[in-house]
Amino acid sequence: MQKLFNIVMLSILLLVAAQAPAGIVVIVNNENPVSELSKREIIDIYMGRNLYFSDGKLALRLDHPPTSGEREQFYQTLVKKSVAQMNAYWAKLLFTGRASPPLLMGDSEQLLDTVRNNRNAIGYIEESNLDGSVKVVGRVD
Amino acid sequence: MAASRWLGVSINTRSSLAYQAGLSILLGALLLTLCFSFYFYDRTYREQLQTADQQLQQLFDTVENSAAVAAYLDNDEIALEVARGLSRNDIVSAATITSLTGMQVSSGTELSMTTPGIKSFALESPFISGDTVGSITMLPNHDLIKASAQTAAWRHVFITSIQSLALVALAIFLVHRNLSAPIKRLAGQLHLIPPGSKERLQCPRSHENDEIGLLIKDTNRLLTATQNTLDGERRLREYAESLERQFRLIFEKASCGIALVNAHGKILMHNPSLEHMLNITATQTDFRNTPFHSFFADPDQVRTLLERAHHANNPVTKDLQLKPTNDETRWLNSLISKVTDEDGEMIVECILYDISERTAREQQTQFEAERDPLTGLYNRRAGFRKIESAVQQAKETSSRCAFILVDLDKFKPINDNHGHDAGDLVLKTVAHRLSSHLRQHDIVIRWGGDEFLIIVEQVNHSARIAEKLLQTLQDDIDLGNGLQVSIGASIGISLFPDHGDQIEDLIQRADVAMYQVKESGRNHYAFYATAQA
Repeated sequence: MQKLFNIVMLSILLLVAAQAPAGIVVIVNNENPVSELSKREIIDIYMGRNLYFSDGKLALRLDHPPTSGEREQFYQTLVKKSVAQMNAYWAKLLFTGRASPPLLMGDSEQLLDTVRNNRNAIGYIEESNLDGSVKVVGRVD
Repeated sequence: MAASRWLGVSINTRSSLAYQAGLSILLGALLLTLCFSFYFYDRTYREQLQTADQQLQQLFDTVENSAAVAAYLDNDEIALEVARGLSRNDIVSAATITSLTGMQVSSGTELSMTTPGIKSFALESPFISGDTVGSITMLPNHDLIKASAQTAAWRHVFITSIQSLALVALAIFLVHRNLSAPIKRLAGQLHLIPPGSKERLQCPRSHENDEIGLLIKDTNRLLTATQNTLDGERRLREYAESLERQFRLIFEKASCGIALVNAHGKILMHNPSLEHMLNITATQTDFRNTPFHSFFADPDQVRTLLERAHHANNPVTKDLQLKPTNDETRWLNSLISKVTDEDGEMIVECILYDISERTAREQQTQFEAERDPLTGLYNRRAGFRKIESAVQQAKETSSRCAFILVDLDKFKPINDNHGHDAGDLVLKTVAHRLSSHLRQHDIVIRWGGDEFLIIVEQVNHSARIAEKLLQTLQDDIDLGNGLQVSIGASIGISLFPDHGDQIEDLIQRADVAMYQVKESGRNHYAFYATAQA
C-alpha cells in the first residue's frame, strides 16, 4: 500500500516537472564585463534600439533559426510578438539600412559556440543547455 | 403705383391683405431661415470638426505602428515618410513626429505643443506596452473644415429658402383665395349697394360657416337696420314736408291776417293777407319798421291790448278800427295771444279778420231800425230811447235839456194838391234843413207825420235855435217843374227839469206850447208856460 502511494506521488511529480516550460536565459561571453541586463536592456539590444554594451562595445546579437522553439519562446516571452511579427518588423526597417536583425545561427550549438568564442556576442538559450562556458546576464520568463 | 381696381373699389396693392400677409410671412420666413442657417452652420462646423477629429484619430491608427517604431528607434526616415503621408491628407495641414529621445521630424509647418488647434497622439513603444516613446502632432486643416461647413450651411440655406419661398407663395395664394378675394368681392358688392336699398350681400356656400359668413350675416343685419332707419326718416321727412307745405298754404292763403309781433310792436313775421289788410303796398318796404299799433286809429288802445296779451294767459279779442285811409273806415277783429319763441323771447301772435263789411252791415241794420226811412231821422221808437239816455245823462250831470216840438204848418194842402210824392219831398227837405241847423249831438226825431221832436242840450240857446229853425223852414221848397211851395212851422218848447222830469210829460207840455202857437197865429215858437197848466 505504502509502495503504491509512493509510485503515484512520483508519477505526479514527474508529470509536473515535464509540464513546466524550460526557462530561457540570455548569455554573453565570460569575458564581457556586463554582469546583468534588465529586461528593458535586453529588449533594446535585440530590437535594435541600443546596439552597445555598457562598456561601449558593439553587441553581436545572435538569433536561433526561425522555426526553432527557443526563438519563438524568446520573442513571445520578451515582447509578446510572434516570429512572423518580428520578421515584419525587421523587413520594415531593412530598407532604411539603419538597423539590421540579429545574426542568424544554424542551431543552439553554433550559437553557444559563437558566444563562447566572441567577446561581444550576446545570445539566448534554454537554461537546460547551459554548461558554464558562458555568462548568464538575464532570464526571460 | 400699381393699384387694383374692382367695380369702383380701389385698393392699393401694397395695402391688400394678401400682400401684407405675404410680406409678413416672407419676412418671418427669411428671419427664421437666417436663424436656422446660423444655427445650422455652427452645428455643421462643430460636426465637421468632430469628423476631422475622428479622421485624425483614424489616420493616427493607420500610421501608429510605423510611427511608434520610428520613435522607438529614432528612425527619422520612417518618421518623415509617415509625416509626409499624414500631411498628404486634405484635413491635415502639418504633421510632426517626435521621440522622447530627441528625434523631431515634420512635414509642412514645424509644430510645437503651443501651436493652437493641434491634435497630439502619444506613441507607445511597440515592445513594451504602457511605455511612451514619442508623439505624433497633427494640425487639422481648419480652412478646409470651415469651407466644408460653409458649403453645407449654404446648401441648407438654399434649400430652406426655396422651401420657405414655396410656402410663402402657397400662404399668399391661400390667404388671397380664402380671405382676400372673398372680402374684396364683399367690399365690391357692399360698395354697389346704395344705403337704404333692399339689396343684401350674397354668402358663398363655402363661407357659410366661417368668419366671412358671420361678417356677411352681421353686415346684412346692419343693412336691414340702416334701411329701416332710412325708411323711417324718409317717411318722417315726407310727413314733415307735407305738414310744412300745408302750414305754409294755410299761412299764406289764409283770409285772415297773421302777424308775429315782439314786445316793441315790431312785426317779425306776417302773411300776405296782413299786408292787404293794413293797406301796405308793395313799395312800402319799410313797414316792418313801423310799429304794429301805429296802423290803427287808436294806437294807444292797441299798445295796451298787446301789453295785456303779453301778460294774459288767454287770448284777448277786440274789434279794432284801422287808421282811416281815403275816408274809408275799416274794422279788424283781432285775436291776440302770446307765444314764446325758441330764444325764450315773448312775442304775440295777432290774427286779424276784416270785419268792416259786417260792421257796416250792422250799422246799416241799426240805422234802418232806428231811422225813419223817408227822412233818415230817428223814428219815434228809437228816438224815445235816445231821449231816455239823454235825460238820464242830464240827470247824472245835473244839466238841462230842451224838448223842441216842431209841427209843420200848411203841410196837408201840399199832400192834397200836389200828391204824396211832393209831400215826401217836402218832408225830406225839412228834415235836411233841421239837421243842418243843429249840432251832431242834438237828437232829431220824426215824431209824427209832419211833427218833429228835437232834444238839445243848450237850453239857454233854445229860443235862438227855434228862431233859426223857423227861418229856415220858411224858405220856399222847390218841387220841380217850376213849382214852389212855402210852408211854416209852429214850435213848442219844454225844458228838463224845469217843466218836469218825465219824458212823456215834457213831450206833452211841448205839445201844449206848440198848440198855443198854432192857435195864436202859427209860424212862431213858445215855451211851455207853467201858468197854462
